[in-house]
Amino acid sequence: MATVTTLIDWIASAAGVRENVEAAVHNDGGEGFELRALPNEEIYFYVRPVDNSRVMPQSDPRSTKAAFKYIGSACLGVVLLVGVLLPVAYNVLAGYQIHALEVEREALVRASSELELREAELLNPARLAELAEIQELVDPEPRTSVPLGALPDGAFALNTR
Amino acid sequence: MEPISESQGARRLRILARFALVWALIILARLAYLQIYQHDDYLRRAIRQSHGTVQIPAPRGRILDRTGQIAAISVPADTIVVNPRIAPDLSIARDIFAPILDLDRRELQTRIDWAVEHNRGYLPIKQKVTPAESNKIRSLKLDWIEYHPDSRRCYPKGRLAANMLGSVNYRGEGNAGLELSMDSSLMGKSGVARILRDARGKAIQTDVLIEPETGGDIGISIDERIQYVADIALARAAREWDCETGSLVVVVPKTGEILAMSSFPSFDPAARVRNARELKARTNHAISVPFEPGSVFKVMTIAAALETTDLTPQTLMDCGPGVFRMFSRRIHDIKAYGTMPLEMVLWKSSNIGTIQAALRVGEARLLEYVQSFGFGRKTGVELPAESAGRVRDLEDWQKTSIGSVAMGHEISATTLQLAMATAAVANGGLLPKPRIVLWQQNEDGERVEAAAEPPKRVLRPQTAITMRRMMEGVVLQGTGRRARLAGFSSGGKTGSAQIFDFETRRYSHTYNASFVGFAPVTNPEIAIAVTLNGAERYGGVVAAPVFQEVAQTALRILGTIPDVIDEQPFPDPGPEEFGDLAMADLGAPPEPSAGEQSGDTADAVLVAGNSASPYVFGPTVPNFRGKTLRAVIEETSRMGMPVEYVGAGIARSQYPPPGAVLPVGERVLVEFTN
Repeated sequence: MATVTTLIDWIASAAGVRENVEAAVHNDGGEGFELRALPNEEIYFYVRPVDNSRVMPQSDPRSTKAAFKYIGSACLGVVLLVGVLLPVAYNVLAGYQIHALEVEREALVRASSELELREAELLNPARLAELAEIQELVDPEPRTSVPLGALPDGAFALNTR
Repeated sequence: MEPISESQGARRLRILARFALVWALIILARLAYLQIYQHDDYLRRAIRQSHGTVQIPAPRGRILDRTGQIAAISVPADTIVVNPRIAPDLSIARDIFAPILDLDRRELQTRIDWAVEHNRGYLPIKQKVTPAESNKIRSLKLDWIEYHPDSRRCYPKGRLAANMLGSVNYRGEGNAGLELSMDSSLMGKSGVARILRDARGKAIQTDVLIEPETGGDIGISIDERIQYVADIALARAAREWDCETGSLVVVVPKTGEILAMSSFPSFDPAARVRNARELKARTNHAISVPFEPGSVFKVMTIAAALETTDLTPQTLMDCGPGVFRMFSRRIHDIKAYGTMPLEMVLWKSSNIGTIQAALRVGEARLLEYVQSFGFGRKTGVELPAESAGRVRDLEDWQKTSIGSVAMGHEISATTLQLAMATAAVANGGLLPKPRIVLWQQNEDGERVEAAAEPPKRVLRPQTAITMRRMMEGVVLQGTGRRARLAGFSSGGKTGSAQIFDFETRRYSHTYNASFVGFAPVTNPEIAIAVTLNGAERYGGVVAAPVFQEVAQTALRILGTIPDVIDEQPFPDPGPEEFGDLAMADLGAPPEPSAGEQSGDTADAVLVAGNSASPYVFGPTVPNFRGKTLRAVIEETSRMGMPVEYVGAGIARSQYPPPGAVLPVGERVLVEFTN
């Protein structure tokens, strides 16, 4: 059976293993009926019932101390690690936020430009002339004025045909 | 088998340990190699993977008119880009982009195939998309589509002043008009930013390496309301009279600020040039295309005569039977005017009278005044491709050149030069420099006013005032009656320069129909020059109505107080004379249309004088014919009427004729003979 043990044995003393094997192969005791050595025959398995009902754990102050020391060290290590990584994490989160704000600012600047363009298009003189034509507005005659006070409520001070 | 001894077990452990140690050393060596020896290389790779540099586009500056309205503006726009190497399915890409971005499927497929074949990692699908298109693509949330920031130049007023404003190319650089000449001020400088991305490519940090510099705004002198009226009126007249091209300039005489500059044909500055005809439409005819001005140039000739000789508006000029022989040439008038005062020479646009005045000025002085009015050199307006026109040197003049130049031939001028020369007359003899740019925005965002050059004196103030009065007569009684304004006085001069046909080497019967004028007369607020090229009618018919429409609207927009009392309705102009041909020696002029008579009414106009005009006020001139000098002086003194007499004996002729109204400030001219 190839196990690590046999492998190591083989590496360590390759020659010795071969001799044993040869000896085992050639060692028949003169009689020829004995089996060769089986591997790991020195390992024995047997079951022995153990009654642990009266076993009482005995406190070991030194091991308790060691345990707490290890736990404390681990916690301190975690805290230090978090303390080192936390600013980095905050930076990353802040970076996401800043970038999101920059994207929002760009979108607002873009919207503002579009609105400015739209406003200028709405004030195109050709469009205003068309609207004036639709509403039957006319250019005022020279040296004419319309007294606003004389108009009825709700009237516009516009020249109409 | 013998049990394993303790030494054998220990030995195994030692061997295992040695093996583990060797393994650990190998790993450490590898780590050292990667993290120390190849540290720089992997750092560079990491930076390249996680960092990226992007250009921050700087928007181009705006162009604003004098009222603050936006004539040109750049808005942010995306350029849609894909990487063919990582796009999952390019046929899907084609099907997505073609309908949304309004692209031709086959053409897009061709481009995609080419990019794949050449293993390109960058394929721009469409540049400068509209916000609607960009939003539609973004809503698909496809991470293999990239959006590169760009900007799009927009002209919200459409074709308004397009030839003057110009346009930009696909890189956003000016390539015509004001966009080109002011490109360095309008163009911003792009910045650079470094972006740190996480493993998913999401940006988490942005460092601006180079700050972008936004382009500066500029303010121009154009008033979009006046510009609109100018564009409409010019285009309508060009189409009505079937003219090839046309141009119009409205300028403030005192400051040289250009309120409107119109050119026909026009174009859409946001559209791409697709053919030669569209490219030609981008020419700014007001500054780039000089032409023979014709009779409008008589203003300069007569101004020079008033300035340098003893001629006055009342000096009688003998225009004879309507034909004048000048060396080998015969100069015609449209009809036989006989003897008439110099101011009527201008009203009626007499070629013979003008040449006689020019002969008195002389070649050298006439050329000097032509050049002092700005002809033959660029005005220096802030636009590219300005033509200086052409004025020949004295040594290149022929024997008859003085006659041609006096009538506006053998020279070429642009509409802008004519407008500025008219502005000089309107501005009391001071020639202003034309200007369009009023202010620019500097790097700090502050407005810096553009410096205005002082005007140059070309005429004495009294000469300019006299010319204004004479040009008013052209509108009231001469060839420019269709330029009369309601509520405002105006003055001007018509021109109908025959166009030279290079194929037949003769002057044709198509004209450069022009009108130059100003309003009001007493304190001019605007000066206008309008030209329509290739017209088959005279300037008084084609160009004068354009002046009327534009000037009427411009004065109202500027809030100018009317200076003419509208007590009487507009009189029926009656038979009008439009003959202002400068080159009438090539056959009969075209038949006048209905309401446009020539010849027969000349005497009636002379006799009636200006009595039909509602715009001239003053005493009625009595009949002095047959009276002695003493009697004439007594009568005029009693009436408070200034008189100028020539000769001695008995009064034979007078001007204004009997029954006419003597305008305020004018005097009666009486000629006595024995």
